[in-house]
Amino acid sequence: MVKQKQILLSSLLIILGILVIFGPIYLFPVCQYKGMMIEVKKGGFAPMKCTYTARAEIILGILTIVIALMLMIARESESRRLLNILFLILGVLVILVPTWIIGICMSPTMPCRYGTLPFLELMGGLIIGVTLFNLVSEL
Amino acid sequence: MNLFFLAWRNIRYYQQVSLAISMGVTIAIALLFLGLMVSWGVERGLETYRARLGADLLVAPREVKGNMESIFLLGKSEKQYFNGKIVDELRSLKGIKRISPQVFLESVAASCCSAGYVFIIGYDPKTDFTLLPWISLRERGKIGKDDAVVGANIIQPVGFFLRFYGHRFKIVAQLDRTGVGFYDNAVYLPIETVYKMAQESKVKPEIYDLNLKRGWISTAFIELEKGVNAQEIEGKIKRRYPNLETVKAIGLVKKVKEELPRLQRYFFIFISFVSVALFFLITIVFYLFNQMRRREHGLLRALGGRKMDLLTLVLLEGSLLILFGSFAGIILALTIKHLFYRWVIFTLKMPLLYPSLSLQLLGMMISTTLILVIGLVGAFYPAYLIANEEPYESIRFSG
Repeated sequence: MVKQKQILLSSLLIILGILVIFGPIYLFPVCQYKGMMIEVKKGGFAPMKCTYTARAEIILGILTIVIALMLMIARESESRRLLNILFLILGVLVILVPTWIIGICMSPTMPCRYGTLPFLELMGGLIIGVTLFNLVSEL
Repeated sequence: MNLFFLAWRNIRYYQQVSLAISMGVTIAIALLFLGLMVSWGVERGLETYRARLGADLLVAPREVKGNMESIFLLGKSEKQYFNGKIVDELRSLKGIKRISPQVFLESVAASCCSAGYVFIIGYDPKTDFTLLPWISLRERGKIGKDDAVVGANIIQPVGFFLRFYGHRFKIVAQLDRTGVGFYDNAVYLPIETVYKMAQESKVKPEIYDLNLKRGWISTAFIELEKGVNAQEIEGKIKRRYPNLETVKAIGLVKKVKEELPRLQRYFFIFISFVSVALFFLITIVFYLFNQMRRREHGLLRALGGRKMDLLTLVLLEGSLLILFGSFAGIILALTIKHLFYRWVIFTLKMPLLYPSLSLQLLGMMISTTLILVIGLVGAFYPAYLIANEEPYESIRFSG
């Protein structure tokens, strides 16, 4: 029963991790993938802040998948609890990267602000929600 | 032990099946509630759109005509200008009550600006009748030449500063949410300040050239005298200024209004599909779930439980699962509704202002009742089958 639940919740977290990686590129793309770049006065173009946010989210997404795989095979309840705490931190980071740590473009008409930001906030919230459910049901 | 308690114990015992049914209901109710909110929200957004435009006619360069919706609905800037002297000439035209010019700019994503790609609108404080009436008199008195009025979607609050093209502006007022990009996504600056910025951008090497001549404007808002035929005025303007295009404000609203029934038709098809899918899901899952529990139900009957008790128990379990799912679905829908508000506007290209709290509560009640009815109808047949089975048969065939 515990094993089945563990596999189910880990699979859910793996799906969320995949969405965190590919969401800011394909589903709710940041400005760069919509062809928007900063025009540099000397000539040429540079990526905007949201591009770096998307890159950081790729790392967080990969970490989510790796830890979810570890959770799937973890036997001890103590190790599962520790992995869940890591998930909580990852969920918070998924939200904090676009809102505070790196940030995104400020104009409300930019795709990263009206699309990517709410998507990542939702994903972070879901990771935290699934983890809390997991932690509570372990008690 | 009453039936309610027994139903609750069963739900807790069969956690995984209960979770699966509740999740199905959660998704269905979230879709239903969101669909209702968007459908009602667009209707409310249209009303606000009509009320907020204030003007009867808009005059803009001919090249902009196809982009009027993107400017007003989404708040995206256009860099096409015409000579503002025309405004003074038009003012003398019989039938025009008020006319006010506006200049559209876009900030650049560079060090000269605190935010890139922001829609900047230069308004004339002396003649404006579309922006200032929506600001309180106290706030209106505070607006100076380096002060900005911002739309509801601009994240910096009142009292903070914004920097555009080397100028610093203090935010003195924020407009209420309208669901229309032109008001929600823009930063309003006095037109004189905009011209000053444009002049400075030509001489300061570190600032991007705005390419805007003093006196040139993007659009003029016209309010007509009562009883004046808008078409007649449009004809006069077009004849006199062939490079300009006039757009009826009501025409902008009408175009969106024509799109609304299509959106509502899709919504209706979608709701029907979700409802039918949910009905079959609940019927099949409950049927399989009850088949799995035939022995348990048979024993309950053998111990003295009546047919009616068993029927009530199964329907009670279904109702509780639907109510839990509904609760989770409403929370999910409220979260998505709040987070993806602007995304919906940009995707639908329609004004959107979510309905009042009382209407939202009504929406929650409608969605929950509809799903509860569909769920109970779906669960009734499997429940009826199991209640009418002989206890002996139930116990014998369950393995």
